[in-house]
Amino acid sequence: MKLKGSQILLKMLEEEKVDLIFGYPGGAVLDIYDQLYKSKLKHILVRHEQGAVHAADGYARATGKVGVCLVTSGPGATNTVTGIATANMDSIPVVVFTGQVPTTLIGNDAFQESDITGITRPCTKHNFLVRSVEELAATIKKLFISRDPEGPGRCWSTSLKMSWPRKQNSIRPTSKSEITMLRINPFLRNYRRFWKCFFKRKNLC
Amino acid sequence: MEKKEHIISILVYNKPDVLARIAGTLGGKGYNIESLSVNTTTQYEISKIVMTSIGNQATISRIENQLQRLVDVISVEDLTNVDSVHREMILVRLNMTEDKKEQIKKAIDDNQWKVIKSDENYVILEITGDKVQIDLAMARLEPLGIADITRTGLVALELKN
Amino acid sequence: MTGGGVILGKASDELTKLARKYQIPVTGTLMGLGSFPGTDPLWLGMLGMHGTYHANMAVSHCDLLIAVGVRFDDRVTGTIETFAPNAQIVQIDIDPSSINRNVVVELPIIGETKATLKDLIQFLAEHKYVPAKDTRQEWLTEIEQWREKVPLTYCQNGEIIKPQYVIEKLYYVTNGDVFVTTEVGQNQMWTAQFFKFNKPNTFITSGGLGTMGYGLPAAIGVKCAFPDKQVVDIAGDGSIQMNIQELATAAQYNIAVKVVLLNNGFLGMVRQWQELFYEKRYSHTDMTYAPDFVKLAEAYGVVGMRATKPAEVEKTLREAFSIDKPVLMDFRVSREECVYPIVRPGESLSEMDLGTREMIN
Repeated sequence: MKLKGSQILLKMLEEEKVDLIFGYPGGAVLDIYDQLYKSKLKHILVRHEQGAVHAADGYARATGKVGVCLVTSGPGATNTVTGIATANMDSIPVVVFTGQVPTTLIGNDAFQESDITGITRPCTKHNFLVRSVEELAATIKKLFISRDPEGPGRCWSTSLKMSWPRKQNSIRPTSKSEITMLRINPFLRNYRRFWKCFFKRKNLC
Repeated sequence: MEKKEHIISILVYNKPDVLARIAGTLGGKGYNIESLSVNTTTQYEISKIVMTSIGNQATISRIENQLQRLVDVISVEDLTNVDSVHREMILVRLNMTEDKKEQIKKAIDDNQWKVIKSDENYVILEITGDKVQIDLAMARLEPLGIADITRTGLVALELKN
Repeated sequence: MTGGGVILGKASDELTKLARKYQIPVTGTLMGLGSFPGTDPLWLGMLGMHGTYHANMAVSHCDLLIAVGVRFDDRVTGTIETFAPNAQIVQIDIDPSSINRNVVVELPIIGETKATLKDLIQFLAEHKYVPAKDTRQEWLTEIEQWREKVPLTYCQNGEIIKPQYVIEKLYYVTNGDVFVTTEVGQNQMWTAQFFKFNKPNTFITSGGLGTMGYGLPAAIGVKCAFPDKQVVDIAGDGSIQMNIQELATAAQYNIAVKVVLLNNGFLGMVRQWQELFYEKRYSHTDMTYAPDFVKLAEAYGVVGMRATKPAEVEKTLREAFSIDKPVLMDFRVSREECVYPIVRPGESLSEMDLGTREMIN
């Protein structure tokens, strides 16, 4: 059975043990909200997208887990910028999924379109524009990578722009928790060797 | 610490956003990219970016650190003080006006510049060399009347693996 | 010196063990509050622009500074050239770009705070390191003298509520067993100064960007994560209006956050700078024109309370915490109170402005 993008998104969030998201619906994310309606995933409706990101941020700081939010395209996405920059400055793991206009309309100044990837590039650890359903699951996986059960997870908050036949969703990551799992003995290993291990690990992702 | 031009070689994943992110990261922090070249390596998924930037060692270390944090950056190396080969290329058009014709022909012979195209009105030259050689060639081309010129960014390769 | 990296790296236990074992006094940045128990005698309080006198003096006079999970932000260092002038600095951080960025350190260590501190403790144990008792005691005594000379203080006489009094009462009423989020400005600084955080991940504030409007939605997020714990947002009247609409979110799901609104009718921190550096020319910082916050809270469907006298403060807090509903408490506080100490821009940490004599005891 082929899953729709919105179904894949919710399934992946479930797999990553995300139990709560903060969000604000809109045209570009109607499909996802339709899936949410039928899903067990808890969603808190905020009153401004900035509030959604700050709430996810507070959740992340208090629990040590990744905070997740879902907003629509255009102004919904740009309203998250302050929240994203706040989380980024303090290295807090937050993932923001933003809707996007259909692939064919990108760059046409379509209704509620914004180049949110470009706008948040300086204030996110990383972001993605997901253009096809096929890329979706793997990209979402990258957001929640955690390697070492003992130490802090390696949180690559990434942003995705999902696209499937008619719609695109952009998933936006924020923060820069680049906490690796390498256990460094500072008195034995020197700087260079650390970097070789670090980059090797990076390649494995 | 004195400022000089540093050559930084960056291996990155070949993704749409990578160059924009690198340029944005450096620009946003106020570091200037003096020259830039980018293309794929033997693996299509991996590209190499060679850039130059002027600064002292502390500035360059900061640039390297900022780049290394980026998710799509695989490795960053400062080739400035490492044994390496550097090349830049220029394509230049010279107009063969009456007063300059002979001078141009003599200069091409003396310098053994490669002629890509020529007719009675103009000649297009291709000149490759390291920065010093290119700067020297530019100085010699100047008096001949440069009609148009394109200069690539620097590419560099370490001498040993 | 502890920072956000200790909390993010879950290294609070290791840091506490290291400090207590070798009797090393501990100070913290805003982001590090809670990583070392605020009630421990070794805790000096926050350092930096609005840090405590003894923390700033200790950093300025120490000869070894172990900085864990910090990035030496400008709010912390004062002028870079005069920061910890006598100290050898060890900096432990996971992020290479934070090392030697602002302050050049003698021993940079790139690694996870938790693993590195664990290894450090082991290393010291293996080498049977013992601090010299008399010099260590001398140092601790010197710090104690600074603490006694200029304690954090304010003057709660008369009938006007002082904002610092509200925060101290909040700590007293809750026993410190509460999650605290803040907005930005004077409310944030007084919280950092007067509320003792004993556990990591309990002080939630926008330290790096300093985003007004952060506290209320963040408190909602925290309460969703820990519905059985009390969560308080300490706010100013400027900040709270930036995301006031989230009261509706709290009401909709009965997310019982408590908003402690320190209402002075000013954009407080900016007004303070205008007082100190612009001869009290209060350009566009007077926010007397504001809604009745109690009525506004009720309009949103949350409980609104007000206190206008010091005697009402404790009562209001206790009542709010006894209700399992979102509550906004409008504390009408002294209008022109300043946060002290303050290290003025361009000064060193040891040259703090301590305020008027009324402030100091």
